[in-house]
Amino acid sequence: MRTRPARFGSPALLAALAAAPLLCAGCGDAGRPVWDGKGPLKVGVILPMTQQTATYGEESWNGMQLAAEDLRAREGTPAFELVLRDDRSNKQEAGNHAKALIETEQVHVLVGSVASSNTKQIFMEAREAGVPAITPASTNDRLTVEGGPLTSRVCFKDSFQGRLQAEFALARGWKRAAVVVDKAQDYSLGLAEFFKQAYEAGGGQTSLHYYVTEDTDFSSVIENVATQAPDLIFVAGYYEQIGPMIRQAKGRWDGKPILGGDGLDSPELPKLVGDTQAEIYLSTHFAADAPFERMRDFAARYKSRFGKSPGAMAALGYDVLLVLMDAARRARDAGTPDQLAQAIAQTQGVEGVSDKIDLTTPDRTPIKDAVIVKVDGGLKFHQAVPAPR
Amino acid sequence: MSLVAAPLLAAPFPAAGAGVPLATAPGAVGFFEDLLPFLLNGFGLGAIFAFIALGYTMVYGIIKLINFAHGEFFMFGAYVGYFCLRDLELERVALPGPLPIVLDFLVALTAAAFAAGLLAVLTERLAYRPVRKAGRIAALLTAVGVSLLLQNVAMRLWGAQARAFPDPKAWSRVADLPEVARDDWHRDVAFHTDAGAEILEPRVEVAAGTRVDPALREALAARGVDHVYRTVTLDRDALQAFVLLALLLWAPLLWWLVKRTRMGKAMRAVSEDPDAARLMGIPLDRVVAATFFLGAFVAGVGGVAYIATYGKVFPLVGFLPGLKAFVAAVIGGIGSIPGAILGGLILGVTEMVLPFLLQRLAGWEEAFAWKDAIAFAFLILVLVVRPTGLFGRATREKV
Repeated sequence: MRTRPARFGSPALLAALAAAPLLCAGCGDAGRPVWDGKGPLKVGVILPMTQQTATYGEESWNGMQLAAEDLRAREGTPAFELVLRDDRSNKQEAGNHAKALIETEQVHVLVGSVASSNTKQIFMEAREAGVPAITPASTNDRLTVEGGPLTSRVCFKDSFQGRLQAEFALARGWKRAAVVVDKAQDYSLGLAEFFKQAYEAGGGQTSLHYYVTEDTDFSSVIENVATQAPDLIFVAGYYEQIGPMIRQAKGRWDGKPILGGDGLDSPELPKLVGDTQAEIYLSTHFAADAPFERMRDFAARYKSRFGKSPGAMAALGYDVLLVLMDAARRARDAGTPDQLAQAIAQTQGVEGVSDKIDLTTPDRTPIKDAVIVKVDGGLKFHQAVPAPR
Repeated sequence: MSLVAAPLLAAPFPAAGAGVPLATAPGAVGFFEDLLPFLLNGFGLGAIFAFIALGYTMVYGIIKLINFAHGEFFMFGAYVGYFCLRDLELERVALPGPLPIVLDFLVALTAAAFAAGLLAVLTERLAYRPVRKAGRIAALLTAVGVSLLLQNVAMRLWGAQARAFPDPKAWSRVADLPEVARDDWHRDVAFHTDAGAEILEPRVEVAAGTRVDPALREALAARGVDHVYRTVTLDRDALQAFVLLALLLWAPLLWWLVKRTRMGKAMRAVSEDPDAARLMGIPLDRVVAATFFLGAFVAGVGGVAYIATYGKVFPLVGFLPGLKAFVAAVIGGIGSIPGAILGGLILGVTEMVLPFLLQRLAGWEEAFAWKDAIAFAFLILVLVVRPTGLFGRATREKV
């Protein structure tokens, strides 16, 4: 249903238009699209299907497809409809799509995106329009705080990730870390800061080195890090930059362990890194070869369907739809389908692929186990890290 | 909206001097030791800028056109090289030692050079020649349009996401494997998806550190495995040395082409006065086409070297290097061949060394995140002092 082109008018005008019942049967009083529990739940999905973090979009979407199949086969799940938009790994586009999905497509809930900077734009639009939004994979701590009570996520956050990485490094006796930061990404800045805090609190020393997302030549970062002669190189960034960075560091960083976060979790990473023989660890949400049945079953099914082994984004894509439809079912059964965000915030014990998910925390962020993966030809399970429950 | 204004991070990093420096350089020796790799990287990067800048400067020298699509010829060459290296499998040719990989690269570089050259000739014929008489602004705008068109065609054809550089594979017969494997040796194994599609994926047959004893060899042979491969990532030093060497070989060759051959003479004549040259019987269109071909030919080689050095190829890969090469050509004095080479090297070194000096001597920790801005500021400074560039001549425009 199209009420008005996105470029006209204020929310007040929108409200006036929406007030006409013939024009907008499914809308609430604020003009926002509200689910009535009878028709299908319309889910707007915004993912990076192309550009820098394209594998994230592809994996998340594939994971959602598998979840959709399972949910449709399950008795009692409300009907739903997924509307996919590509944010092209770009924050402005993520925000624009969120606005267009709410106003033009009249979606009842938004899912997305992956990079924290992009999800922030989606959450802003969702908050302004009063539409619930949930991200599968954005870990920046501030997101759900600034996004308000309608926003939530199914992944852990960077304060947890940064601390577990610091503990992992200190437990191995790596006392001096060179921290490599992408100045243009909220995810990178946040993760580096949490790592630094926990690492220094544990007696470690750090030095900071900056690059930006657009860089292709990383020789300056590489040389500056090498000059510091650290025990460990901590890379807070996304695979599309860190992969080539490690490749270019061949012969410079040899023998230095490299540690990163879930931003490195992509099947492209080993290819980008090449045969540098670097010792690379990353903390993430899922590993295809982890010794947990739920992960292995999912990985086998994903692989025979899509022809490749899944990364964490696939698992989180699966989990996000599971959590969302579980909440939708509860909201409908309770006779309050318009209270979808509250139902999401009351999520308890949903058995996801990554872990069991509870969203009853103050910032609607689950407390979940992490895994540490080692890059060795491909992404290989190294160890599990239990959440502080 | 509070969300827009408030940064996502409650407390961003203190800008300068954040973190404890882990090692402090002891005196001047340490300083120069640290400077050296930046200087060498600067030359490596500068050589690639010089390669691209040559094309800008030659085309400008002849028809006074700033060919903004030149970076896209570079990108096209890079993709052609990528597909050659990924799909031709020339490393399987049975030749001793590293020769199969050398052959693989030579073929990829040649294919990339010719493909970029042909694309340039085609572009000139279809887009630039029709507007050659329409004035320089029309030609300049056409060039910008062609640049955007080629970028978008590349996105359409090959997708917008970056692809990892396909590392060459070194093949070996199982019988020839060393006693103890130093690398992982792979074989591609097919498996089928639910939909029946066949997909090849690499599987490690002999892991690094494994002792390759007769029993293992027999076990592999029993499974029908006779050849295995390992991937070889070339290191940046070698690639940068290759680019510098190629530049050292190409510069005198180009000088000879321009100064000693008939085509070169014709080019210089056209550059002097196109109308007079045509009246003297010089085939203007052919000379212009040849110039475009030569410029893009070298850019194609630069493109493959660039993606091998930096590890990925994507549709906008030519944009920033192209822009910087243009800057390099301007620094050197656009239209001058030695100027383009020198300008490229100066820009490359500036981009590496100036932020290093600012970081070390002025204590500006974030200098490297601003290296492009610093390099472009330097350009403005050069142009203020020498508006025609280093080798440019001040010419009076005839009215």
